[in-house]
Amino acid sequence: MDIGATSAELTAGRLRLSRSQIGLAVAIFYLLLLAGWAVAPSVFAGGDPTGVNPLAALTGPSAGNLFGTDQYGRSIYAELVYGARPALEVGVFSTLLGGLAGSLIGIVGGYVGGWLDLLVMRLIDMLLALPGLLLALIFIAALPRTLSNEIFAIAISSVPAFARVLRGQAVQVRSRLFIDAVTVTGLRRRTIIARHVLPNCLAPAMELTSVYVGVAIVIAASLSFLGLGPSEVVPDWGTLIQSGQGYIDKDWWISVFPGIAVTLTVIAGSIIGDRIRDAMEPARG
Amino acid sequence: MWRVVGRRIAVGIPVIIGVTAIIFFVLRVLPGNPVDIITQGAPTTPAERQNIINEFGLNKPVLAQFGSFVWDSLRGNFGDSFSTREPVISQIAQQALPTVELTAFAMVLTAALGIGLGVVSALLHGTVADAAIRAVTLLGSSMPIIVTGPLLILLLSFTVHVFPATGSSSFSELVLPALSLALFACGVIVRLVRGSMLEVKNQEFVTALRAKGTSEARIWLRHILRNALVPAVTLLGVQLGGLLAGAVVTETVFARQGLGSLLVNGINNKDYPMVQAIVLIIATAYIVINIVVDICYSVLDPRVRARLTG
Repeated sequence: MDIGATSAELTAGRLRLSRSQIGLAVAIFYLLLLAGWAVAPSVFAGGDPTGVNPLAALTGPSAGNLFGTDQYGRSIYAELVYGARPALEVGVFSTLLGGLAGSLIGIVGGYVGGWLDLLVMRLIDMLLALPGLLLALIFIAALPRTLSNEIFAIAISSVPAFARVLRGQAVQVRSRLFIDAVTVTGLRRRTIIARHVLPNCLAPAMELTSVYVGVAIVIAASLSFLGLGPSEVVPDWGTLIQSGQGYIDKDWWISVFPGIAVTLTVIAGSIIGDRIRDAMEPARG
Repeated sequence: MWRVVGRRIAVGIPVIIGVTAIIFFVLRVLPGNPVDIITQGAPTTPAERQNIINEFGLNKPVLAQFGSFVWDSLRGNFGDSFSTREPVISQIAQQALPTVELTAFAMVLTAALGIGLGVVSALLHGTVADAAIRAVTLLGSSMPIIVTGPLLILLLSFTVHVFPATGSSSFSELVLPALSLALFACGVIVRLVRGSMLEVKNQEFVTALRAKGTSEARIWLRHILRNALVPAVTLLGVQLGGLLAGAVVTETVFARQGLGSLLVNGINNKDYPMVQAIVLIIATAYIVINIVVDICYSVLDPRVRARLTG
């Protein structure tokens, strides 16, 4: 903060801090709830997400059915709870896989430099020319529709973003004095990357990871909406949004509640990403 | 100027070739026998299979196939569809216009909303209006199109009857799809314009302009806004990739004609020539437009012009 800040500005800063802490608490609570749904759906759902009941079809939100029922009389709430596991599986595993690969490519390229870096940069340029969803679509087109193939396809689409950000960070870390210091002590390059460069690249990698989990879940939901999702995933948020679209004029709850679930996941991810960046920033400067 | 253009094109061409290679080899190397896809599992004699192999050039080595694919694409021939056996480019040409219209209109809306709301937000910095704009744009950029689309249909077609929900024949049918794309894409631009206007506002040259008696309106429009627009233009170019990919989804949400439905059908039918042509055309459009944006950027900002040509 600027030394010349007035006391009013300081108070405002403190107020904003506490407000953002509330946001963080809500984000963490929501993600914990999703994790609970994913781990033990039967505890939360209070019913079978696949139980067809024509008598209860298309009833609005009520005490009995919190988020209403779909055209087959299934509880939207139960479908949301059971859909959390595949959504989180795709979000978390594809981001970890793609983030790890992208980060390694970026850090090694940025630190080693030379022709390797040039190669990495051109590769990133090419992959970035294909917007995330399209990059995933090429692999979806070529592979059988399974959950693990979807995770793989979305992981690939997240590689270029991680590689680009981490490459930038590695280039910046390389130019710092302590790297010169450990280099002259004669440490091997592999050891320098693992012990000194990598820890200094963790903050942006973690920030990006927390944002990308949301992005991956959106891509997965969009693929299901297009009818290109994995066939074995039964209560699926994207499929649910798609199936409710024909009923949007009167029975809006079928699409709207799963839509809110996806949107909140994205917002929670970006709130936590922001906090990670804020927390790491003083250490960087 | 021309050196900037030359340099950007020299970087762009290898990227396009690389993208072509990625698309081609991913679709070619991964499992699945093209002949079975073309015959759609119908019983065939060996002679018929041999005819198909010859017709689609599948007997040549993969590298040679890639070479002729690149060479033919350059002349506008992207091969024959596996399902209709007609040139894919004729189907693409029929469906391209609705997608171009949608993307272009969404781009205009994104620029207008992004810059407009960003300027308002910066001018009303610290007020309720500023907070509201920031909250709405954060929500918009966090909400995927498969959610925004149905919500807009619910609010603006069924609750208030302003725009039709689906279709692709008239301009009013273009509004909701373009708006749902723009709401998603404009958030980052609002934040960027707001942030850079507030940052530029405190720079010394603004104080100098005030001291010299320049009118407040002129300072904001001619100096502060112009400085804030430069990064916004670059970001608009980057956002275009998201708009093009988003258009594929948006077209499905609003049951519009266009490359989106062609691409989804192509994927479902394993019609690889169709898929690779559409993805390649979208990627190339994205790369070319970003080169144009980079050139505009250098025209807008004398500092960049000096760095690139110097």
